[in-house]
Formats: sequence, structure tokens, C-alpha cells
Amino acid sequence: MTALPLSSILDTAAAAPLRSRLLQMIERREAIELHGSEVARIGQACLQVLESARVSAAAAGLNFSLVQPSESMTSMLTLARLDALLEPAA
Amino acid sequence: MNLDEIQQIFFQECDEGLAVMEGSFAQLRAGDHDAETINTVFRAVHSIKGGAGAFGHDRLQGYAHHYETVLDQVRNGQLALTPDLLNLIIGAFDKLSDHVGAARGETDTPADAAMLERLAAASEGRTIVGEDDAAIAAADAPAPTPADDFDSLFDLLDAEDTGPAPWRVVMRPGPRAFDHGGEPVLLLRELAMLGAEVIAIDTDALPSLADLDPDRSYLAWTARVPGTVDEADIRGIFDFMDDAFELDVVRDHSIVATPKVDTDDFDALLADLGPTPVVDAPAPPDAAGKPVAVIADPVIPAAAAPAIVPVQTVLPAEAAAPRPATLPASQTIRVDLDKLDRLVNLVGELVITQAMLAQRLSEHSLTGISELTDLDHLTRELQDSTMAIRAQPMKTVFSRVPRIIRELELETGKRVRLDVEGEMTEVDKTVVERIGEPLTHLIRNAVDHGIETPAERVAAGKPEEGVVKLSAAHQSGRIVITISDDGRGIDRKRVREKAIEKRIIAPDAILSDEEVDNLIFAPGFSTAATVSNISGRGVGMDVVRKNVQALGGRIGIVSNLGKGSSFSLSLPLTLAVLDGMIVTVGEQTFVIPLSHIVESLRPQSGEVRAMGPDASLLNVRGDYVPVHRVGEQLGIAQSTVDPEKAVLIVVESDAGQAVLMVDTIQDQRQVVVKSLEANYEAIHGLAGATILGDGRVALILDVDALISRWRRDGRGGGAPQRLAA
Repeated sequence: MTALPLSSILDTAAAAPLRSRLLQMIERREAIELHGSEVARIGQACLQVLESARVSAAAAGLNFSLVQPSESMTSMLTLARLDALLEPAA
Repeated sequence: MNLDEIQQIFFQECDEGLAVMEGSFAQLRAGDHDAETINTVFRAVHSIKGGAGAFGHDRLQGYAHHYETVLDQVRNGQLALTPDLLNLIIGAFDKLSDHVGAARGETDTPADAAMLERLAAASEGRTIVGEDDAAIAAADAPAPTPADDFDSLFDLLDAEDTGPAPWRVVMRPGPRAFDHGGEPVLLLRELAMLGAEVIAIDTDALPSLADLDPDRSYLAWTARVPGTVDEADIRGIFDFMDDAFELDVVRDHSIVATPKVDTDDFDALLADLGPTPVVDAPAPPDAAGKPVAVIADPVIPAAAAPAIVPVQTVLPAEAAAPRPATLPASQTIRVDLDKLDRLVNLVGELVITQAMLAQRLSEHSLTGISELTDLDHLTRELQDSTMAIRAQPMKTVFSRVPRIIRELELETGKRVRLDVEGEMTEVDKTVVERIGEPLTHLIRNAVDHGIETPAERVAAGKPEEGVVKLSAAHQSGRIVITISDDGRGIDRKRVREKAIEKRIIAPDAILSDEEVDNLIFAPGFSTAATVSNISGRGVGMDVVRKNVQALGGRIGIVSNLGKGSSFSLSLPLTLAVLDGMIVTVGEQTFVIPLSHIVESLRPQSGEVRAMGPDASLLNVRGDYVPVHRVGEQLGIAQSTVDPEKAVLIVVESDAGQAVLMVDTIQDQRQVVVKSLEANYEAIHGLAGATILGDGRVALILDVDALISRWRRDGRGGGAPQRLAA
């Protein structure tokens, strides 16, 4: 499994392509592993895509993990109380 | 933007807040005790406290809390602002500045126990004792008995419990919150800056990924904001949200404020308590999920776990408190300095390109095109406007001076009043940043060497209180900063004796008053009998002058014995452009900064005298000044060697006056400075480069460095000499 590298700017414009990509992975029943080291900025639109993907993946019995999140990504996820995204895959 | 960057903004806001406070103190000291001034000081401390909490600077937050308490009592009329209390508030401000410095990592955390005791005493209406007295009293106090400790512990907890109930803020962005670039999560950041803690997220409305519309907002958050924050400040964050944005701000008495105890105090107290049974119960999480220390009864009643209200539904709009009137839109935005520098650089390139275009057109006899003239004006205006963005008021630097004066008063026992003028005069950020140190030294110098002791002043028929005046003004495209005092003035006889003793001048040297005054800038010169820790902090006046010159500035002195001295710093408004004289030497073109140039002339026969085989001197109104042949000394072929066929430019340098011999003068104009370090490598004797209208690079001469080196090497004009004509 190759980790999907996340773009550095995850603003509202990045939400639709991110959603499509993650949805595709779920539909193909691929485990989701995201690489967040390059993320410099993340907004609410992408935060909710990631959270929805996490819940949808779990419902489909697929692993979801976020590896090496950048400092700014970690800080935003923590601030927004979306810490669950930072938890390692079961 | 990451957390570090946001923290930097917080520190910038601290600086701004401290500067505002300093300004308010000046008003308060002048007897202007109006409510708004007190409020301004309170708000500044309050904001610092909130930000400090958000970024985990507990010591700063704790100190600001106690400071704020006293200020709150003053603004509510519970405490009268007596001179003693005002002195305490100003003293506490200095400590607050130290705490901010410590939070930044610039200094150690200051010892604040004595000041906190004084603040507590003021708050309780007790007699305010001096800081030293308090410190001594604290040190001499008998060790507390365990019973005292219990009381202290309860006091500590009670103090925390008396604050207002925290705010519960529920925010639910409307479905179209992302339209027009909206980014609701940034509001969480702003809340955090007020000391808020996001305690819950509501994801109930979030659909599965298949059903999710990426352009629609689904989330909501609940945050807890300290009760001391003004409701208007909280609501102000959400002022520009659309009507669909749902916001609820209520005092939440169900959230029991978790007693917050400084762990150091706690540990110390527990250690003193000795065998008192302490139960290590599993710590229940607080609202933020952080463990909270719980001690068995009877030491502390177990704190009720804070009630976290999950966001299930948003209160109806009518239940929400009425929104205050919309606050005026902020007139400022913060811009990353790198972005600004890039813009300045690009505008510089544009100016150069515009000049090249004009020159190219003129080569084809296409002059007098009105559009080209318009373009020229627009480019210059754009350049001026861009430079203006980098401009900052001198207030940034001047606001630090009152504290320096206060410290000096304490150290020397002198009484000094500071008068400030023109603090809103603007100058380039780089100049503002680099002028602080020389300015500080000149202020210290004015108080340490200039102002006399109260007894000396009275004996001299002066008021006990000396005056240091600090002013800034724009003059002829430069900024002139003046530091003057009404002290004893420069004792020229003593300066001269000292200069002879230090072998800075020959015993028979003939010097004008101005030249004697300038001897204080000579390296190694000091008239102080003993080096004090005030002006003798390892920075001499020579370094002050060097720093000012490095900024393209000059220092002038006017002094009257017994009446005082005045130091004037004349500085360029920006370092990105420079007024220069464009000169030709052989085939090369150079720029000589105009700030160094005294005059230029074509010598008459006999005005230049040969001195030995290599050196020559120019008679400048009776003074013989060494002539340096720039072409010869820089190894430029085909440069003029006969001074009478060349142009002589008299310049002022660190090493005194000198003459630069060049072939011709092309022009005198403003040039855009390009850094050699950034674009090539640093070269001794060159201050930078610029691109001329014809596209050629012209090097900017570093006059001080070149002349110092030439003189050191004994080249050109030979050894420095001044001969009486």
C-alpha cells in the first residue's frame, strides 16, 4: 500500500478532488493511508472530507491512517478537536 | 499558517500592546486620569494574558492576571489612582515586559514574587511597600507552618474561584460558509487567541463521503472562553459572518472553573505539608482532556468535573444574546515581511527596467513621449508607495525609552523627565530595527554624563529634574532624530585633555569646537572617571557612530557648557534606495553615496600639492586633505591621472575628510540598491551595486571602508594628515 501524499495547501478548492480520490479508494476497498508531511495549510472543507472519509472507511471495514502529519496539520486537527484523525490505524 | 507563526503574531501584538501602555502611562503621569486611558492599559494587559494562556506561557499569563486585577479595580473605581499606585502600575509594566521577553525566549523568567506581593497589597488596599522591602520581608519571613500552608492553599483556590463564570461559545458556520473564500476554522484560531479552549466538535451533520458536498459546511464547535474576556471581544470575531452563521455566547455556570494552581506552588506546598495524607486518585480529565490533580478531603473538596455540553442542537437565534453594534472594520492587515520584501524588490526591478526603456528610446531619439513621462511618474509613485508600506513610526523605538529612563533614575538617583516629539514620524522598518541600539546608548549617555544630580542642578540654579528630549522629524527626505538634554554639556577642555592623554590627538593639534566635540566618537575615548554600568556597557560612542553610519546616517553635536547637549542623527528614510552621484573612472561607472559628499570641484592649478612620489593633497579652504586616485587604487586602466583634468570629490568619512579623484560626474540621482551579498558575494570597499538605465551594473563605493583601508595601507593620499595652512 502506498501512502497518498496530501497537497501542501488543503483549502476549499482542494476539497472536491480530495473527496473524489478518497471516495475512489473506498469504492475500490483500498485501505486509506495519507501522508501529511507537506501540509502547510488545511481548512474546514478538507477537514470535514478527511473526517467523513475516516468514518466512511471504518464503516466499510477499511483501515484509515494519517502518517507524518506536518506541525501545522497536527495543530489544526488538535485545535478543531479532530484528534481522531491523528490516531494510528487499528 | 502554523502555530509558531500565529505565536509570532501574538508576540507582535504584545509589543504593540506594551507600546500602547507606555503611551498611556505618559498621559497618566501628566495627570490625565480619564477612564479610557485606564481602560486602554487594562485591555492591553488583558489581551496579553489571553494570548499567553492560548500559547501555554503560564508564568506570563499568571503575572498578567494579577496585574490585570489591580487595573480592573482602578477602572471600576474600587482603587484610587494615587501617585504611589501609578508608580506601582508602571513598575509592574516593566516586569510584564520582562515576562513577554521571557516567553519569547529572549531572557530568563523574571523574579516577580516581590512585585506580585506589591500588586496583591494594592489590590487589598494594604500599604504598598517598595520592591526591595517586600523582597527582604519575604526573605526574612519565618518558614510557614503547615497551618499557614493550608490557608495559602485555600487562598490560592479562592482567588481563582472568584472570577466570573466562563463563556460557552457555540459556533455553527452556515452551509455556504466557504463561499467567497470563507474559512471558518480561522475563527477557532482567533478564539484561541482570547484564551479559548475548543472543548467539543459536533460532527452529527457530517454525511458519509459519498453524500458529502465539499462546498458545504457541516461542522460546529463549542469552545470555553475565560470569563474575564469581554463578550464584545468574543462576538467581534464573528462580525463578518453571514446571516446563516449561528453563534451562541452565554455565561456557563454549569462549567465549574477548575481550580488552576501553579504546579510549582502546589508542589512546594505539598512538600511542606509533610505526612498529610494525599491520595493519588486517578485524575479525571478536565474539559480539555488534560488530567487535573485531585487531592483527598479535607485539603480540597473534589472539584466537580466540568460539564461538557455536547453540541447537539444550536439554540434558537432569539435565545442568543443580542449582537452588539458592528465594530468598525480593522484598518490594518498583517502581511508577511517576506512578501513585502519581494514586492519591494519587484518594484525596484520595475524602476530599473523603466529607466532602461527610457534610455533605449532616447538612443533612438524617441524622447518627449508623454506616456513615457506618465510611466516614469507612476513608477516613482509606485516605488514611494511600496516603500511607505515598510515604513513604521518611530514610536516602536521611542516607546522603549521611558523604561530606560526609569531604570537610569533608579540607578543614578537623578531625576529625569522625558519629552517626546514626533513619535509618529515614519521610517523604513530596517532603520527602525537598527536604530534602537545607538539610540539607547545616546539616551544612557545623556542621563549618565549629561544630566547632573539633583544637588548639582540646584547648585547650578537649575530645577532638580533634568529634561531629556527625544524628537523625530522628516527633513529634506531624511529623518532627523534628536536627543537633547539640559545637563552639563560637553566640557571641551576636559575632552581635549583626555584625547591628548589617550594619544587620539597631538598635544598641539588645532581643533575647532565641533572637532573637539566629535572626539567623543573616537575609539577608546571615555571621559568617565570610572566606567559605569550605564553607559559603559561595552558599547562606546565610536560604535554608536559606526552603527549610524552603517545606516547611511550622520551624527551631529551641538553642546553648550552648563546648558546641555544635543545629538542629531540624520538617517535615510530607506536603505533600499540611495541618493548617489554617478561618476566615471576609466571605462567604469561607480556610485558614490551622496550622504558622504561634501562638495565636488575641478581644481585650479596649484590647489593640489604633491607630497612625495605618490601622495597629493588638496587645499580645501585652508585645510590640506589627502587625495585618493580612485582609478589608480582600484586598478582601473585609462583613468585620468592629472588632478587638474579630473574631478575631485570631497567626502566625509570615518577617518575624516578625504578627496576622491574621478574622471567625470555623469549624474546625481536615486538608485535602487542591490545587495552584493545576496546576488554575488560581499566585497570589501563596495556597499552594493545598482543597474543603470543602459543596463550596465554600477558598483556603489563604501567610502568609509575604502578610505580606511587606503590610509591603513598608506596608499593614495598617504598617511592621514591635517596641516594648518
